[in-house]
Amino acid sequence: MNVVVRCESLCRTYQEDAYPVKALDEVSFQVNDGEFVSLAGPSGSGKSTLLNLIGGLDRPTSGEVYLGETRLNDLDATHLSDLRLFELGFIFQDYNLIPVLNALENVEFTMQLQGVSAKERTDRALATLESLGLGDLAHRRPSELSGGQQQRVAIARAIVTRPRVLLADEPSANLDSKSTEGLLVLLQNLNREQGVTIITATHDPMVMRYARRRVQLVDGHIDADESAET
Amino acid sequence: MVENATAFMSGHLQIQHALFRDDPLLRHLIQNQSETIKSLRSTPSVTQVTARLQTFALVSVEEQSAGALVMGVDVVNEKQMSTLPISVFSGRYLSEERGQVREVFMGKLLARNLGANLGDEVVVLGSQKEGAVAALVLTLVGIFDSGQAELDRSLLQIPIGVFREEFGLGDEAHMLAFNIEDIDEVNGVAKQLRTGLDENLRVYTWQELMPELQQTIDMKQSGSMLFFGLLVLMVTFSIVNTYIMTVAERTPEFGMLLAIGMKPWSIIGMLVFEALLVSLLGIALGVILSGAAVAVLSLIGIPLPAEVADLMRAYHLPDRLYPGWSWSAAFHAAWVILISTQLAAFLSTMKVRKLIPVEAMFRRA
Repeated sequence: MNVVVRCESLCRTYQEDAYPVKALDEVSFQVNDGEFVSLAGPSGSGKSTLLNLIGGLDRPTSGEVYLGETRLNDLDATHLSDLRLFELGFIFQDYNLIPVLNALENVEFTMQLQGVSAKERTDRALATLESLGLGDLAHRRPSELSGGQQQRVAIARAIVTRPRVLLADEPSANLDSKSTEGLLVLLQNLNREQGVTIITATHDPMVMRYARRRVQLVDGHIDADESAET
Repeated sequence: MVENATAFMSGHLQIQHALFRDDPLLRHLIQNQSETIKSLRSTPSVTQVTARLQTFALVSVEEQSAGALVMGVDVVNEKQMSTLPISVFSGRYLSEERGQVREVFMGKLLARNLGANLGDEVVVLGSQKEGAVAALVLTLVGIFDSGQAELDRSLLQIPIGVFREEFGLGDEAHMLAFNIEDIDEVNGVAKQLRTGLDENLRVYTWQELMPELQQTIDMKQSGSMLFFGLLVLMVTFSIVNTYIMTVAERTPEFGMLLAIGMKPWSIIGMLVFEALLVSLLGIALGVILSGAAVAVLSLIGIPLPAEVADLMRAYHLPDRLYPGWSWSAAFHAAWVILISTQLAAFLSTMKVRKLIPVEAMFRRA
């Protein structure tokens, strides 16, 4: 198995009210190609921080992060943007869709940044939305969609660029149990059928059940790292 | 302003004897003035010409006497060139029956000092070119109020024919005042006329004749430029402020765009492009609104404070400001605003380069 994500002695310290707070403390772990990993733990355990460092959304205080053979510490802001655009897909807790664009345009947007031609990106965006059951809602704006539908649009935006790794931060936080179940089936299918590596930060037991590997974080340390059958 | 000032008496340009300006003696004359006038009239850009003679003399009305500047004028041409003939306080201007009517038109203060009333006999006593006495008896037909006390106290005009006759002069003049089609071309016309001009004669532009007016205009332009500069500075700072606020308020949005792979420079480019569109819209609206305002105000004028209006009237200038549309001013202002807006937008959005996506996404403005 190829290693797609590797973290070595990763530390992240935040300065809060003059006191340093260690969100991550000497964390080392790796994720192989095609894994579905949940980073679990209570609030403040460091799971979102770890996810952000893997995604290049934040800089470590010390330690190293590799995506494949690329050492993220060495990349400047522009190269990190390129990496996120071509190698990674993000699903956020608050969906983070662009409110003035409709679902189709939101999904097309990342492909537009990649320089994909107008026709190809429309075709791919529509196909992705249809595969997620949103074909009829393609021309609706985020405000006209339910939370579950918005999260599926966010997933469509994340996967339409065919990323190596999909990172999801509390993807079920704003969803009801039925929508959560639908989302997890979707992620599971993406992982099993398309081989997309998925790393999700969550404290939702249902999400943890769907992941094939669970990394438990407590106070910035990895407390447990175990594979689970789903 | 320049047109109003030059229309009062000086004209756009003048030809004088080389020594007359520094030493205004009767003998410093333009010889064969009718030939020079003919030559001037054949110059395509020249529209109006008038000849004048002048000398200092003793003026008396009954028992009262005063020194005054006696000016002989070509009545017909003077009425076309100068606004003094319409500055009548009482009576009328000189008759157009060339040179034969012995009339005098004098300033209000001079008339008051002499105790002169319309219809009174005015005696002028001066010296001819060769030193003989020149004595004229004229009838006061009009009193003018130029608003300039010095002129009202010292000037009187008589027909140029009478002046020549009584002061023993022939086809001569002290000055030929003339106007041209485009006042902005005075220097070019002056240069053209100086070529081949009699060496005893000099051509003066209105700037040389009225240096104080040129200084006033220069000062006004400097003031306008300073005001414009301050305005641009204020606009630039307000745009910088607006964009700093915009960047602060939209930081979570920029964080999200960075997170999904947009490059920092692309975000800066997007913001600068937004600024460009807003600027172009603002400039278009500004041009339309200011054009409408100028169109209305150019008809009704902008009233000046009472004291300033009185002063302007005294100099035969309009007592209201009548703005005029200038494409050049609109174009330059638009460019300056456009460039300063772009610069302000660019500088204030540079901090996007330093944003860390995760911090930006969760930042509260």
